[in-house]
Amino acid sequence: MIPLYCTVPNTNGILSCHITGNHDSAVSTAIIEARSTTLGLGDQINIDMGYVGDHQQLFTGYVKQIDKNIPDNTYQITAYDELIRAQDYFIVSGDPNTPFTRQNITAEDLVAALLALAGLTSFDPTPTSFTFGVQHEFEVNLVNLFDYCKMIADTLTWTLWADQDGTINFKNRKPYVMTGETNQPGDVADQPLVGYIFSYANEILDFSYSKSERPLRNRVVVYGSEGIHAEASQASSVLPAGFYKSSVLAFPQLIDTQGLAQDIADYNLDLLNRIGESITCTVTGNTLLQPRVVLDSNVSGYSGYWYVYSCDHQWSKTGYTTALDLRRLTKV
Amino acid sequence: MGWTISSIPIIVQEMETSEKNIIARLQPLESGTVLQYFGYESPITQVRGKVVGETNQLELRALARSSTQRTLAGYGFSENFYVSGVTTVRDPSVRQTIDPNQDCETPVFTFSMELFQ
Repeated sequence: MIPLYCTVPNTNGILSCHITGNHDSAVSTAIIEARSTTLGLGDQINIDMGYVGDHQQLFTGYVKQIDKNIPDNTYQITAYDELIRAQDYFIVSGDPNTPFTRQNITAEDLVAALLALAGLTSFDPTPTSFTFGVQHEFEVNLVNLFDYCKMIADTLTWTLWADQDGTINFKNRKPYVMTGETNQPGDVADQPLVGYIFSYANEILDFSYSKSERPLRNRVVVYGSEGIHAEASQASSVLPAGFYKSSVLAFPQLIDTQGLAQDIADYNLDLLNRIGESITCTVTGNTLLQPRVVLDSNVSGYSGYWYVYSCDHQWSKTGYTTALDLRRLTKV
Repeated sequence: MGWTISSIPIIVQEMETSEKNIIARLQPLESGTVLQYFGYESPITQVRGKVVGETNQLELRALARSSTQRTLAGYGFSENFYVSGVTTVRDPSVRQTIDPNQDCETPVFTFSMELFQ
């Protein structure tokens, strides 16, 4: 029998803890239910969770909401990770004549400068080789900070997230197992998580599998500033001959060279022209499991590498379990 | 001195105390059961016996309508409990000799009581 372990600062009698992380979600969320707490709104917390003798910090973030439940006389504490500061930050210049402006700046430097507005300076980017505002100065004003940074990340097929230590990552992290074959910066072959094999013997509690072409797009159109546009397309074996499902990206302020527009179209086609396989399952709780890691599976019929798209740690008196959404996107 | 709870005279016939660990039992698809230990529950004491008289019976039931700790005492035993629940059942008797201080026609009740520490 394995004793469970969970600590949250200034909180006693923890009844349950639920940490949710997802490849594409704005922030990771933690919901703690406890008998007593002296935490206040805005307090920074670290959650250390797992088993006695086998636990680690799974979350760093800020308390955003505290609810008291009567008649249970318990508290529910909701916290979000560091990126909530970006989500709560609205970029608005005090003087409309002097907004935030930049010219000829790499995507990673632009994101770093924007995140710094919200005090997020622990930043770990992959250099992108994309430069915005080559021809013209552009301004950033009257937009939400997170939405703007996420738009940059989505345009380049990069991913923006905060890890469990609070560092903001801006990396070439695709929502599938990367093979290092695209020549894109930061595209290196994924290695599976050390110390964990996804298998029935590794305590899978439930399991379902699906396969779909729904997210597939085999034609990408990019609109930039006036006169700048690009297109990339490729036939797909799972669609009728000559049929194209289209996706469009419009970023007229930032995309002002033809080469940049074409690169963005090519990157997005490489990301989107894929069919998706997914496994939804629950396993016995394991603190090694995190969103965006790659697992090696030896489950018969579903072997090989799988990307952890989402990972929910659920800890309570009904036990510690981890719910996983595993993805594999394959070019066809 | 006989048994009392919160100064109400009772006749204790049986007292049972249970302890319980909180153990999660997970069942993987292709391996043995996994047990995870969450903690333990404080002891729960079940007391069963007789109470004589309508007044004592009503007072006994009223203990389950407040959050005050009550003292169960008798024969060298004395501990404080929260009364979680009381059930009384009137016995099919017409005469009683259990409590000589009350009329012999006083009704007798069988009670069961759940106490938390």
